[in-house]
Amino acid sequence: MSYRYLLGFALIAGISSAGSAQFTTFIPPQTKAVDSVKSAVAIQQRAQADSIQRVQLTNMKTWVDSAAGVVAPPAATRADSLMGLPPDSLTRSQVATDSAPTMKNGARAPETASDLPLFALLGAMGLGIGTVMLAGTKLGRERA
Amino acid sequence: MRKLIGLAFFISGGLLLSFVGGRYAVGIAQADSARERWDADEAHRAVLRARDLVAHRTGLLSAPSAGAPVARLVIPKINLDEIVIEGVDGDALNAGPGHLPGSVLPGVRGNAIVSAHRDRHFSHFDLLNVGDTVLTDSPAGRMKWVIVSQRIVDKDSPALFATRDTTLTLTTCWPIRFLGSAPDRLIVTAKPVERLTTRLASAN
Repeated sequence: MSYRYLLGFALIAGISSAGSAQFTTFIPPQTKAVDSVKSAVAIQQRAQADSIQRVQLTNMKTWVDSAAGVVAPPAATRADSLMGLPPDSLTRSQVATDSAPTMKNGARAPETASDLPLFALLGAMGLGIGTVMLAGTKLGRERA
Repeated sequence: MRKLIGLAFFISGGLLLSFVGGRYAVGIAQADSARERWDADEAHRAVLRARDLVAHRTGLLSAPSAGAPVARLVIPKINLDEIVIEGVDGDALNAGPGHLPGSVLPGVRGNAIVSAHRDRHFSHFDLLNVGDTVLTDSPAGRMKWVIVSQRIVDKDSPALFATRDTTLTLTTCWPIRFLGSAPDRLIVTAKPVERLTTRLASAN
């Protein structure tokens, strides 16, 4: 009789512990998943709001700079902000590189036009005319 | 009064000539410096090229920094022998023919684009004809090219195109003899005929 009681206790203890173990391992992941989705949505909404604010500020800065005649770096896009690249991270060197001529399909030929020959001719003409005029003045004085 | 006007002409003419002369002098000095660097790096490049060939790498063909000498361009017919500088901005083109960033180096599959001023390094490009030979030396290797086409386009027209095969495109302003900013561009296209193994001889 005592063996039956012992076996019964053992079965109850074993089943309950197994049941509770299953219960505790099942619930937390479900709660965690819901929490992670909620936090992700919250982070995304916060980032979106921040990005929109940044873009507006950058555009305002660009507008002010353009009104003042200062060349401003291009405003970062919303996608850049979401990727963790703040709009202010665009440096002058990056802007200069972007504006530098690079190979693109259907691009124009590089700007190889040079005004130096024209400047040289104008300089030579100016020098010649000046020399003649100065010499003429000197000759006129000597004759007088 | 006449003396003052004459003096003004004399001074302004002298200043203009000094500016032009100074600009040319700086360009010549930069070209000499680039040639010295090119020559000094040649042995180093040969070792790296051999190492890359063994390792099947293309480290030498990565994008060069602006202002760095990237290739040597030789056109025997017009006695042209110049070091090509990376970049096509004012300073680079003053020092020598410029390699358009983003285009491949001469000898690499694709379109390698080199530009220069018509009053400087490409001043005799009007003497070139289809069939003339062009030689290049770059980290991609030494190549012999033959000119296959010459065309003149408006300066604002699309002129540069990506190619699947190995191509060399040389551009300058057109007309070559023109006072002021030339309105057109001369586009010379060359195709490779031979990969050279010997060092390029000087065109001069």
